[in-house]
Amino acid sequence: MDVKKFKETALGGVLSNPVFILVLGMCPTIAKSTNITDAFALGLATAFVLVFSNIFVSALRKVIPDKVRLPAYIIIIATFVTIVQMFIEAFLPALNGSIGEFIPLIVVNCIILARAESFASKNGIGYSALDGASMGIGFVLSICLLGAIRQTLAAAGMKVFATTPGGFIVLGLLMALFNSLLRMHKEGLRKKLVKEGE
Amino acid sequence: MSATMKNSLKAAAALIAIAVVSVVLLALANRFFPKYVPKLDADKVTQLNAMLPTGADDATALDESYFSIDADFDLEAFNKNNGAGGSSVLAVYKAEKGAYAGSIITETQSTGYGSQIMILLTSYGTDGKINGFAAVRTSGDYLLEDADKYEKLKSAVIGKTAMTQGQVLSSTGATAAGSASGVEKNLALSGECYRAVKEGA
Repeated sequence: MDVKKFKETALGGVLSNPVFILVLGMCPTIAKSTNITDAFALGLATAFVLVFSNIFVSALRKVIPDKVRLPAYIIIIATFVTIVQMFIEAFLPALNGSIGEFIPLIVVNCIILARAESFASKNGIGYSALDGASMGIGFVLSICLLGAIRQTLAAAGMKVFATTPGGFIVLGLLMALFNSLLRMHKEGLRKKLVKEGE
Repeated sequence: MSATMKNSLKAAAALIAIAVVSVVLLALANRFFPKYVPKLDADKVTQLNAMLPTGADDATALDESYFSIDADFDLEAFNKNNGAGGSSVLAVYKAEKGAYAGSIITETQSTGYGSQIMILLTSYGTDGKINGFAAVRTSGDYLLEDADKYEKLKSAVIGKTAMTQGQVLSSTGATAAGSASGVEKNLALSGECYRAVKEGA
């Protein structure tokens, strides 16, 4: 096993975080991060679809003709989205009321299509599943963090943070914080390597 | 056969194969998810009591059978003749006691343009006009999950016998909603069912 590739894939959810770094899937991220419950549920649904669509796209990558790869990915993604929708309708009707309208939209979530196109279609099943899980967890944590902050601020009386513009403000601040922390970490690593080289 | 034709056939075959696998997966998943079975339990009586207030509390309404399920009505035969495009009557209830005694309540399922599945309760008074309306289940429904639009729709439907999509939209202030067609179909089917129940009585 290629340890370097494994590490890179496993840390993909942080180093290439779909929300704070790649800025993908903004519509559900902003729309359903007004409270942590909805954010967690939608994040989990997206992560499930991400993992399984990555596995299927990877497994079928050699039989899908290049020219019809996008419709093929959409069919695969839509299948798993439908399964998630059926599950929520059957077992979680209350949740269906709050995030139900956003579940079908997972089909066109850029994160899923981007991972299928840029990773799963070029890598084996194991790495694709790992990438899906890593990106999925990264998305769940990001949307939950955003949801927790917006919910807390709105509960403290700052109702603007429950609105879409407020959501963008919190997201922008979190992106700035996340990117500067990541840059500081990378800089620290670089300095350490230089020191070791000397 | 030209290379272009070969490539096109290969692409079509791959897409068909993936679609078939998807259908099999969905069919398998569908077998494991429980189906909605309408029943006159405490939750349903609470919903019926809110829709057609009997004056009694929910527990009394349940214990003293303020509502009953019409077991004599042949749902299967009715749905065979009238149900179409995913629309069907799931159950027929009767209001036995209270201010709305004699009302007939249908529980119908239908699908909107956007594949929104909705199960609605529609009650008809002794004059044949709708006197109660409630959503039992909806899936990602724009009209019925918006509290304000839902209340407006409930008020608009009372006193009518049916509503077109246009009337549904204008009564709620919505500009466009695929689910409006589901509401229209539900109301049309429940109206048919009400007349069939009355004829059979």
